[in-house]
Amino acid sequence: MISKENVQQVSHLARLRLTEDELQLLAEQLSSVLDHFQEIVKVDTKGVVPLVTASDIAMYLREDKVERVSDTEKLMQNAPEKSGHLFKVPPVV
Amino acid sequence: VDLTQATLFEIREAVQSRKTSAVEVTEHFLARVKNLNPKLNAFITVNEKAIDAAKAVDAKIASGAKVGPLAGVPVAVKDLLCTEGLRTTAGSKILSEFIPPYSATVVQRLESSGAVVIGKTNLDEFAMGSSNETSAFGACLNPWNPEYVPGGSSGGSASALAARLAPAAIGTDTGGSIRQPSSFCGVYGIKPTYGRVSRYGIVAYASSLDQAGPMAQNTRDCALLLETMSGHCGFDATTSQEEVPAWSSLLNDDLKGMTIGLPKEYFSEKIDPDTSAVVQNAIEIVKKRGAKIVEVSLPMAKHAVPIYYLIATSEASSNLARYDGVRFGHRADYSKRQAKNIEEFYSITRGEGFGTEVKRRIMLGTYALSSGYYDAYYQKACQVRRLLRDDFTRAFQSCDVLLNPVTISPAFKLGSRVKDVLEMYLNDIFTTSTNLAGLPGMSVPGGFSSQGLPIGVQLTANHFAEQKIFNVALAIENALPKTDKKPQVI
Repeated sequence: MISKENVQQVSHLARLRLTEDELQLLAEQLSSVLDHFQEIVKVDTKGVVPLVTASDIAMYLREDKVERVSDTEKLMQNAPEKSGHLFKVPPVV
Repeated sequence: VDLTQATLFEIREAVQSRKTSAVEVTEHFLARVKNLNPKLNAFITVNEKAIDAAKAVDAKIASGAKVGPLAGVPVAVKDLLCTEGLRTTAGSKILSEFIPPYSATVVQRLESSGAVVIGKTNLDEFAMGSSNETSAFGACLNPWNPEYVPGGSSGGSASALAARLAPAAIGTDTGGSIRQPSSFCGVYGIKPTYGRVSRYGIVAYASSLDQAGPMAQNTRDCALLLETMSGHCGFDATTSQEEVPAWSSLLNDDLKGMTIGLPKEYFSEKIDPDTSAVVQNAIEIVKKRGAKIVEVSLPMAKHAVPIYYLIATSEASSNLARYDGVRFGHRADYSKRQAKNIEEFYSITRGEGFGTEVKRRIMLGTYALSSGYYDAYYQKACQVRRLLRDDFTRAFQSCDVLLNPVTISPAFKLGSRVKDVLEMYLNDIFTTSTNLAGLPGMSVPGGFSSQGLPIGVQLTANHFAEQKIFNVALAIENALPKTDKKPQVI
């Protein structure tokens, strides 16, 4: 069972502001989903190495050369607020 | 040429021989989008520059220069793939104004093959959903019956293709997002082997599972599209250096010598009778084409949904950390006030920008990765994932291709599963294991339900064995009687 307080803590870790209603609903939904997911606990995984990449992909070396992939103006064009080539954030002190 | 029904091969032949022009083809489909999209909501953005791109293809042909294998073919691209200068939203409010500074490798390759991007298709927000109902731009509808969902997350691509708003579409598949909507909308769609196609420029959901793939009207078109999209890319270290075969020219529908495996666990689930009948019919077809049928076992497949949701949401919680309102995307309004601290600024921005399903998955993933739960959830899921992949490795020692349903039942009604989160997640029972094991998987139209909704058959092969899937798909395609059934909206 996941309490509303647990959900609140996790939402802080996720940097995700939730409303009171969302906290309540998520406590119920996460509990029911994780409850169901408990079934994998019973699987014997002693000594099993966790799998992260499922197909075999060989690592390789590439030439160490500088390439221009985009320009600063283009990369900055989506900034909500900017000053020259700097991203602006609201004052926090 | 009847452009609406034409295959990609017919379109490119007509364009290259100048029976028609790329501009004419593009105008034809743009007009269809204009007429039918208001009924389906399949596109989020139409490419205003599509005609210019088509003009460039025509100019190249007129000059006698060599053109690519998709010259003049309009393609609808899921709005999860970045398109330089063309808005890319991922179906989210947080990216509703985002103009990518570069294109995804997949888009670049399609365009350099002569394809024309005609627009960006609707999807579940950040590809998180199985019904296209979580999109911030509204639900997309199934052209076979607009009361039903088109599936998801690549619902817009499947819907657009089925309604012939485009002759080809691109989707992405993290847990079934190409195969399930392809099945629900009656089109061909393949998720290639993990590492076949570059993920560069595709908005990330779960990086160890995400793959882009084509959706088309037939097997050969699908193979041609995948050929142009695949291959090593210097911007994605997980792309394979395996050679990309010319699948479309190596197709062979004679299945003599091939063994088809039926995973017994998948056939013991409670499957809808129409779906069962369609799958049984496909089994009869491949038998007639010379294939041997064997039963195989995937004991861990029953755990695929929990493993998938624990791993995918964990990866998502990390991938979506980049949406912080600083460099791009939605930002909470701070014009008239000061933030208490930077965390509050991030939290409010993210709380406003993300929709319900995305929040739920970020929360689930953050929980699964948090101190005290990591071993029990994330790590455990990765261990069972290895056991699941080992099951497939064993199965492919005794067969070439697995054949089973894509989903338990055909498309469901809009709104019918929104309330029950777990039921919606369990919908992915037959598709998620393919991604977890990194395998190629395809949905092939196999027939219709008694209510006239399409039903697909799922084919899965070992890593990099896409040709075997295409061959079985072609055998099924060629053996099915030609149908005059058309989606309601056409």
